[in-house]
Amino acid sequence: MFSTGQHWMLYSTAPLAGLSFLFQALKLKKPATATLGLIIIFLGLYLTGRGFLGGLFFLNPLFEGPFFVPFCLAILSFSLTYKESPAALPVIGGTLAALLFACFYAKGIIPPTPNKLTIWAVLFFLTENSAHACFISGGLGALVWSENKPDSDIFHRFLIWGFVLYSMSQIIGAWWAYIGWGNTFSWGPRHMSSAFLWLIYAAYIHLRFVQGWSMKRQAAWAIVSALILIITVYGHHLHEMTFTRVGG
Amino acid sequence: MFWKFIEKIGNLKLAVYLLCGAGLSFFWGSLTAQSHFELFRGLNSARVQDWLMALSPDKMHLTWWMYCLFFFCFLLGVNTIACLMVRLRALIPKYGTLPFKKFTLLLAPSLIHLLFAGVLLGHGVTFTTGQWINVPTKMGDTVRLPDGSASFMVADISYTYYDDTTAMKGRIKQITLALKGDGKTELQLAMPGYSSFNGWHLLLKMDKKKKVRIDPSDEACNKAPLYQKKARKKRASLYIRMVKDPGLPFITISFILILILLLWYYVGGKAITEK
Repeated sequence: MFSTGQHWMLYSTAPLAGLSFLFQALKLKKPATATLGLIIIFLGLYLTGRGFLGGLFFLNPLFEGPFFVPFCLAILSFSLTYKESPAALPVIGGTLAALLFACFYAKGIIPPTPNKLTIWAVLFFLTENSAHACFISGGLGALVWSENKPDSDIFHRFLIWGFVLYSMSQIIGAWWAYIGWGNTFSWGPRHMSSAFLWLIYAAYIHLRFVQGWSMKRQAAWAIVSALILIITVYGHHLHEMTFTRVGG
Repeated sequence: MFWKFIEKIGNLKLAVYLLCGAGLSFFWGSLTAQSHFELFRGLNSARVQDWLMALSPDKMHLTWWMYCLFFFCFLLGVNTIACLMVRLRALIPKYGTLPFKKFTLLLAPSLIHLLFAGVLLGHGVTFTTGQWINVPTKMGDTVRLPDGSASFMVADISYTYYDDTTAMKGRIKQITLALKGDGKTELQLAMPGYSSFNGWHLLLKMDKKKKVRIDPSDEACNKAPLYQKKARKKRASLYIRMVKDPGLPFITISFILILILLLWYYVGGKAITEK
């Protein structure tokens, strides 16, 4: 594919995200939306190109966290900017940070072992990373809420969708783990940290119905949870940088 | 008196504390498993009580969080059921007075919680009664099911490698294994996936060694890297993993229903409330 190995497509998205952030800060909606649209196109092409990095097409590299999370964040930023949401600015900022991380990340693909060549693996990473993007956006939205306290709880919807997607990923992941390794739950750091993240967001969902838990406290929970998620997930990504990679 | 007690143990605030307690146990567990990966890997092929009993007491500092986790999960299960009872007690009298769709929408979170208790129970059953046996295998071996109900001969093992034209050249793409049993019984194993026989699930397992050390007595030692790679290919450790997991039906059915209800509640439910 023409975009395979064309890393300039990825590198160009970071300054574009910076520009979009600037436009949004200056309340220039149209240029901000247009630059975000460009980021989505460039990143979409780059991700599709990644599928061919091994010399054969695989879906797995398209959904690798460091590259797919900024893509999801860019889509969310686009939607928020279009709707003139006050959460647009911090979510664009989050997209910029995630893109900068992607620019410095290992570009090759981890050669898929036979157990990874299944639709379950693809669906798992698709839902898990989409959920991560929603959780990060929820945390950033909660930051805005804490500052401006607008009428709507802009961060809550992100967290709900994040939780639904994350629950889906846990269910899909459990089935994939069973057919691949014979356990629905493995006593390893990856499965246990996923369970930890699911539980803190499950606690958040329940907090909504606990009397005496104000919106302020819920926003604080969303921010702290997003920080924990970023440290945990990006910690795993950094660890995976040491894995053998090909292409890129 | 009874309902007051149920209301107390089904308290929502308690649920939040228990979720956090279980979450923190998992957090500590993930840190411990990161630094003692091999130790905890053994737990994936053993019943939790047997594994804990077999560990020497001086390993307690590595496993204490597991006791906390099981304690929190047990209480979470009790709390979930109690909370469910309280909610259903308030909801059921409304049947008939509320529109059916609205009633089912209000019922959905209760059902999700019931199914979550099913997932917890399923995992409890898996961890305490499951069986996982890994048998090293090669062509011509006889593989016997752990309960002795059947035996199979390894009739064929075939490895497929990535083409030399790809960046993954020489790496394993797929392994298939054919088992021949008594009479006409034939099982095909491939990765990922399993074949069922007499209540056992048979899977293929590849032993992934992180670093291959070259043994000086090895004929591949002191040869060109290409030769070494070829020689090592022959020594890839392949296992047949035999699994009997009585908790799997609980986990699978509960998970599927949770997924359907979650989607219905958040996607379909929104349309109902907006009406």
